[in-house]
Amino acid sequence: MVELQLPTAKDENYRYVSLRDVAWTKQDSTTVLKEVLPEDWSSIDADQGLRVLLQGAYAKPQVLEDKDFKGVQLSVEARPVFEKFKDDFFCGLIGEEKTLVVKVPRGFNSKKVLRLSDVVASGVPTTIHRCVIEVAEQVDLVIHNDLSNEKKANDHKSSFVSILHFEIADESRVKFFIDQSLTTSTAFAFRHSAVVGKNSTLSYWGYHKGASRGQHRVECIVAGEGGHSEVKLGVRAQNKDAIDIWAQNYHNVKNTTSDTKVWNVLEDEAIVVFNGNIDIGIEGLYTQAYQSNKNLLLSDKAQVHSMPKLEISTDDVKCSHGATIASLDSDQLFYLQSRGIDGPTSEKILVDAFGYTVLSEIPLGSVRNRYLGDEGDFL
Amino acid sequence: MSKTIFEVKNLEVSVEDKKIVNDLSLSIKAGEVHAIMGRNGSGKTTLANSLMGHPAYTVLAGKVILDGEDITECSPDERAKKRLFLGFQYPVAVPGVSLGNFLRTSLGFVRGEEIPKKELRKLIKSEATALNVPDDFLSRSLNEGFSGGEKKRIETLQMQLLQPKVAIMDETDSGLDIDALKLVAEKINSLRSPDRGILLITHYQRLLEYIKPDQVHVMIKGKIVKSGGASLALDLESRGYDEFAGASNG
Repeated sequence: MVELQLPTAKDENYRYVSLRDVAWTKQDSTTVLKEVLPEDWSSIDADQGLRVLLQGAYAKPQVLEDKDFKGVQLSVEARPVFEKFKDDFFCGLIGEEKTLVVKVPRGFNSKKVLRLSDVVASGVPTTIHRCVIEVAEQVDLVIHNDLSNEKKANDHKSSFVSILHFEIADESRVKFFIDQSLTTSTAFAFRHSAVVGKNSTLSYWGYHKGASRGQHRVECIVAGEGGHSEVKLGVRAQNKDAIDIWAQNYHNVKNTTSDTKVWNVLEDEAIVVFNGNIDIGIEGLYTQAYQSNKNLLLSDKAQVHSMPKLEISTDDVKCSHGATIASLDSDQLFYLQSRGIDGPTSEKILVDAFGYTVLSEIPLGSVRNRYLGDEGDFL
Repeated sequence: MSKTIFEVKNLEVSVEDKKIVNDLSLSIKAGEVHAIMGRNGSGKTTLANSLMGHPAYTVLAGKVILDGEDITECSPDERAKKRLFLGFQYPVAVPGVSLGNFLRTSLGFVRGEEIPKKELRKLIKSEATALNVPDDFLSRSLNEGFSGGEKKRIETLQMQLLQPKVAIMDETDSGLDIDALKLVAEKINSLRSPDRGILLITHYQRLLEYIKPDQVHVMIKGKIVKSGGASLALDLESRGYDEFAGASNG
């Protein structure tokens, strides 16, 4: 099993800790991809819809260190085995390295949410999921990535690694939501990145509750004029959970925007580390970029290390960053209790409300309701 | 003869080691409306919050008795379940909690039973309409982005729904325009009944033009220094609080 080594706030080499080593660990060949929607993919004509091919090609991802982007990109060298699928816009490639490549054609408009389910199999020490999603021009796409353990996996320690890269061409909109219900015995490491083209938007939501150790890293390069990236992440950490969150936006062309919101709720002895960065290069004139990190501490022993940062190398930009760390508001608690609502329920209401502004914007009704119950459904 | 529905006996309250309410006693009979009037900083809101059991206020001495039961040690939610209600001067905003769901939760706790959704929806909408609270308010976050007057109407709506034995209304008139004031006063008046008591807390006599109190108390420096009938409010209006301030010293 691969142990994730979470960095501490004192670690000078913090940004380069662990993930790369974890990511390239050779995996067990048992399972990565269990399901790709549409479920009836096999009946869809290649000219009309999506096609999934789960085997028969080979892809070799590479880590590229690029000083300009300060990030990691995946380079995929694909060699379709089946000639007849070579021009398909949606092609899953699974070989020894198990990388899925999704190619979304120009003008594609998903009529429903595409669901990508990852299941950590019982008995598999490390599951690695690599996925590259290439989005052509004028696409409108919604994807839900759902992570969970196989049943009976509670007693098994395992790690889940997700490497996902979006390459979004011009004039497209992509909404992506990832949530995990991994067991406490599972550690996770996400390394997600995106390049957003001209006048395109990436809306990225992530929600964590369950796994006791994890690192979630999101890096967006807003590479085209008029491009926008929106990153919203939520963490509910309990017991001795240790969760590491990274959110970075790079702007090096003019007239781009980004908005990052990260909220964490911590109980017991949980620890969350947040590293946020807005990096604006010399070409990034008129960038508007915002970043906030809100933390709610429900225990004296819970810890948050919040490090929002700005790196600005040009003039005429609008940026803000900030962090708040607070406990429950005593006046709000009193107000709810004065209306007969008991203490524990009042606290739960306020905790749920803390994340509402992020959770209420989840683009998938079924997922939204999973976290918000029937809030808003009553009237 | 009416029974006493609410009684405050020799109450002393401190906040952060500073005594704010000092040996205050009050007795409200069922069916009565009392008004406490006092200038800014006289301890009115401290009194209201401590009567509702705010944990930041320390009761140093005295008792609070609701319908014959000593509730001095009760938590705020226990007091609410015993049908004590506080209409706040500044209702706090709770972003992310919709007014509709909040009302549903509150009613469920106070009544101690799950009320069928359909019935509850009908009840809430009917009371909301009567107070000119638009439907869309119910799906908005509790007290967030509402004007002062709208918040007071929402407080009044809660009072209507919870049907308390004793309602304490802390400066309900502030932030209300004339029409809203009349509407809220009408609702408070409609709540008057032989088995209920109402305690109004206010600066001005204005509210008392619409809600005629049975007794008026003047509060200075945490103490009730003078009590009388409704005409006392008129006296205060013409003579000001200074004249009564001497009483608290002597």
